[in-house]
Amino acid sequence: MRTREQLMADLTAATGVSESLRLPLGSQLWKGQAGEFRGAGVGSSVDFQDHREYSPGDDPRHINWQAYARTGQYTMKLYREEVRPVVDLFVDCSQSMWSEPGKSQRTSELVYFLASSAQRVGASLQMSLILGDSVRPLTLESLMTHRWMDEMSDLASIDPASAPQLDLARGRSNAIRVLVSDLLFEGDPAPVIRSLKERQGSGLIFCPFTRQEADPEWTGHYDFIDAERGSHHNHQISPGVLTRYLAAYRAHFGIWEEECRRHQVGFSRIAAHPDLFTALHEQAVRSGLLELSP
Amino acid sequence: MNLVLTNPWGLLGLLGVPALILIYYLRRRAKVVTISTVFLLKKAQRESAAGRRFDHFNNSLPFWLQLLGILLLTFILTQPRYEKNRTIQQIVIVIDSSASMQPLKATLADELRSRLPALQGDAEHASFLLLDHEPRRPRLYQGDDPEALLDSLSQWNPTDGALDPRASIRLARSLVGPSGVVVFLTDHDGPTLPFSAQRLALGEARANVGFTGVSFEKEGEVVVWNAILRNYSDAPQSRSWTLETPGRERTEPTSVTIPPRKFITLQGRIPEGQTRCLLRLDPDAFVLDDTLPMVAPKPRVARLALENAPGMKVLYDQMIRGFEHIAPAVTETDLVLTTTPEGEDPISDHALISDTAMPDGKTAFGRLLVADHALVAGLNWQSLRTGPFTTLVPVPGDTPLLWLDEKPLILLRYDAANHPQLIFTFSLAFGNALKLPAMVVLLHRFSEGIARNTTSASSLVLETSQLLATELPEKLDHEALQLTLSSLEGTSTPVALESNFRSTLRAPATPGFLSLSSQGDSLMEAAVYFADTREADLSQAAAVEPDRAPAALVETQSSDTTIWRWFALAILILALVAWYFLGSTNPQSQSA
Repeated sequence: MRTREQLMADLTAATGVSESLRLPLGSQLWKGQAGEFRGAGVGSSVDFQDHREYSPGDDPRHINWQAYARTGQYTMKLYREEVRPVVDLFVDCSQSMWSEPGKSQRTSELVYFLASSAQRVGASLQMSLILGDSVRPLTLESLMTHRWMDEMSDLASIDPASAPQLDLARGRSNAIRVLVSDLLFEGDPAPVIRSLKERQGSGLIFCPFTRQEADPEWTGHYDFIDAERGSHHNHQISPGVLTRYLAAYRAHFGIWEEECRRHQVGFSRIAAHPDLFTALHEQAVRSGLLELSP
Repeated sequence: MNLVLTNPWGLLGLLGVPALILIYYLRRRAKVVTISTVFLLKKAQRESAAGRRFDHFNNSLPFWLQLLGILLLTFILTQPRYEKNRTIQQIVIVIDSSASMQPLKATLADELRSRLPALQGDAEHASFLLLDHEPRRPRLYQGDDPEALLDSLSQWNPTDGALDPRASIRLARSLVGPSGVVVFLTDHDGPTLPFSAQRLALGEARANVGFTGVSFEKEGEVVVWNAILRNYSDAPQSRSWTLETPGRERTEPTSVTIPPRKFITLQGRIPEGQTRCLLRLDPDAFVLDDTLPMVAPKPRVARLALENAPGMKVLYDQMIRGFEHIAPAVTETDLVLTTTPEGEDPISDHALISDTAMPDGKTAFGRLLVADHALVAGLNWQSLRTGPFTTLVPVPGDTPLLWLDEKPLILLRYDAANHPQLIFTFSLAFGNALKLPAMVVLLHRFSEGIARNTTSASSLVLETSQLLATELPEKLDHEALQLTLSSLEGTSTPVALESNFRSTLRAPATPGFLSLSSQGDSLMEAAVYFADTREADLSQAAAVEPDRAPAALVETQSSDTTIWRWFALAILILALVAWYFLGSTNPQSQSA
């Protein structure tokens, strides 16, 4: 867990990065409340888009009177819809996210960054803290006042090592659903990915990882404590075992990448050891999960 | 192949196993790390099912390598030996060459052939070494062919006396080391042999009758022999004997019966006109003493002359008459009885010198003292009454043999040619000196010594293997000497003499005759007979079988001593592999 002082520092770092990077809201069409992003439908913005014949119920303010004068037909001027994006942020609160200082810092920074980024573009932001089958909404105020750690510790799940059940968080329609999780749980990725995509949503997964788990320097005998359950596991780590572990690690995230690609969900692993901007720029921007702010 | 651990104490090396486990457990405590990828680790390695403590070892390759190293080291320490198919047992047989082995000679090869497999033991092959019980003699056989070993026994002829075999057994043990088999092949039982040697006795108690000695008497011109015949057995024995002379002439067999363990004496004459004859018994198992060659004994003679000493005529006559080895000189002289008048040069010859002059005509009295000399050893002079003293006085170099107070009575002098002279400083014509037994013995000793060194012909009876040096003159040229061994039937065998023949020349080991001549002149005619009664007594012969080849010897013989090298190599490889694994998993080296 992060202390208040650490969270304040994380917020500062994330706010700074959010000035340079933002969620890829401008690269796609959104549906939602009026805002400053181009919507998927016809709107009332100043940007002319097309013409069509008048239908009863159309807004008479958009009748092209000049065309009516020429043709005697009511012709409607269609303008691009400008909507306010909807962002649902899901934060995996399993202990694996917070057991290592590096990963917990990077997770905290990601949450602050994503919230700041959404807030900066005026998106409708809804945040949820999820631990397995336990879900708790997170308010922006709670986040910005750094009380969310306390709320997170109140979460209790039957199996804290299970996959976060995003469907319990009630994601909104047409929302861009962002999941911050290390994905270090057993099971099929498909349910999680499908939850990100349901109800015309689009999904993004930010997956923080540490060098210790990706390329551990284990040798000899270890008493491994499972960060999720607190159980002890004795292992003698030989070079062969270490090699097989690395293969399993790569295979695990290979499956996630493959599933995300198949379901058109953005996926990026965010290393914990570089600074936040470097990590996001090298990994999330290249993966298309973030874009440079105009 | 059977595996034999020749050093069971090496199993103590197994104590290293619990020590290794303890060290490993204490040293390699688990590092506690909190991780979030346990489920991935499970895929890479099964979790310990045996519990935490033993999981230290289940997954530790270095531990198992070190454990294997301890086991290999323990295996080496136990000095494992494989009994190979090709195993060699070294067998040394020290054979008793005493004459009592003669009865075994005909059957010894067959008897030994049946016992060689037991001596060979479990070994597939054997190497043999056959040594005489006299260690200075050459080896009778050395090789790995048992038949050749047995064939070599045909050249073996046991004629020695009893000899302590320990020197040969020591030599045998030194040749084959502690792992070989050393066997003393004899015909009798005895005390435990030294140097882990085993006794193989093939003897058998047998009744033996044989000649043990002979003496001669002269009855006028006739020589009478007295031969002693002995029965060595515990039962009465009957034998027939004959007297044979050259030309295969023999007397009618005469039967005699000898009581158990008793002697009888046979007597007879040497046939007239014969110089050699031979007594022959019915042959029995021990043949060496079944014949008794004889020659009429005749000592070597010194020719005695009397010169310028009429007062010593009595002594001259006594010596001619009483001493066999003294003969009157005709042309050449070996010994002179003489006197040396005052002022004349000393004579140069073997001489007995005295003087009949009586300067003062007095008889001296006083205390008699005898020198420590071979000529006067054991002689009693206390009843000597000397005649008057003569003018003879000692000169430097003389050896006084007898004193009367401070006055030397008898002197031993050597002239410039090293001829001995016996000088009396008192008159032999007076007093009782010539009647005194001590004087007779002294004169006999002196004259016999001179006669022995003459080159006159002699005849005598010798025992087998007797050293001949004492019977020969001192000055002989070995190149001029001719020794011939002969039999009664006339067959003769010349024998070459070595330059050191005085220390090596012996009578033959078997009964017979010999002739020794120098430049064609006969020096010695001798009959040789067997007289070793210890060897002729076969009643104590016995059979003793050796133990089977000891197991320890077989193991050592049959071991493969190269196996430890492979195990040592395996330990070295294990150490390198363990070092590689320990070194390669060092976190520092990994990050570097």
